Amino acid sequence: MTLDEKYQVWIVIAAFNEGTVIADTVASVRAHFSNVVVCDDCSIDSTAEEAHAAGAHVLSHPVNLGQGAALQTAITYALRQGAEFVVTFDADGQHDATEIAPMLAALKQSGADVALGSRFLTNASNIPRTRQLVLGAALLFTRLTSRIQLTDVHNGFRVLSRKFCQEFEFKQNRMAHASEILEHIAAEKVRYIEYPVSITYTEYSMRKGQKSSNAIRVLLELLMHRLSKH
Amino acid sequence: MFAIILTIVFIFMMAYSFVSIKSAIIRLTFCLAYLAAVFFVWNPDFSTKVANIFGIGRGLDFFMILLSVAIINSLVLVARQIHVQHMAITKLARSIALDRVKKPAENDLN
Repeated sequence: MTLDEKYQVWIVIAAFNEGTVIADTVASVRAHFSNVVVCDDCSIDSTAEEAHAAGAHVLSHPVNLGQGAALQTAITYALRQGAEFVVTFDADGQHDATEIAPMLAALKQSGADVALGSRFLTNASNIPRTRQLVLGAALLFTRLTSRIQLTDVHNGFRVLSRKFCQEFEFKQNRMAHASEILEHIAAEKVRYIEYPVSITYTEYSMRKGQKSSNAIRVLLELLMHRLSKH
Repeated sequence: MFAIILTIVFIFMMAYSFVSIKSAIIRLTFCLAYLAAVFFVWNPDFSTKVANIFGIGRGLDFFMILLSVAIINSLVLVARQIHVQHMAITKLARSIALDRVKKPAENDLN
């Protein structure tokens, strides 16, 4: 990949108290792409310093707002820097940076505006059983409410075109943002593809990640968001 | 029909209270209160027996249900206002973060 192409691609990472892993995550991404922006969501550890030392542009929220808000802040920055493609990437090391380039290539070839990573299009994920059940329920909910057919509705690995980022903004600050983007894609009939990605569940990521009971909270946040529109 | 709507609203508010309130005791109190409300919606005669103990007649049931609806409505309106304020805080925090960006050192860009 040429430097010019690299400078059009920005990898955005939302991070909250990921001081022990963020440097490795940023380094793994920067082995392939130069432009990485980390939005530190008011961490109480050294996340911002570690990310900066690893070579990322770092934005810091003065108050904790949630992953959705942090991603949007980072996306806004990337657009201001002239990004043609924005890649959303998890901070905790669950995603594989070597999969960014082929996913980006697939998106460019398809002519679509969004590439959504799916852990279920590949067997390369050590997903725990309880998480499988919760994701299955989320999949059913999304298919019923958003009328979008996907195999993985809660994957943070995405490639978004500049056009899409200019037309969509995350309004859900917390975990409901993952469903919000899918609702927008369905409602606006955005062209998208699904791309197989691997998710590596480590003891760290499982301990840090979402509790399965958060699924109820996400559903209620989406319902309250709908109520607040009317 | 009205009883069904009220039951759905009470169950939704019970679920929302359960996931939104951190204190276990307060969470349990709200859940029990909403469960009691559902019970009284479907068993209004029982509420009369309770009211009679305190020397109050049945007419109070209708008033209490209306009061419940008014309170729930107020809570939803307050929740919406909090949501609007939260969006404003988000915009402000984002603006601050973007103004104070820390870029990597020049030699890290290669």
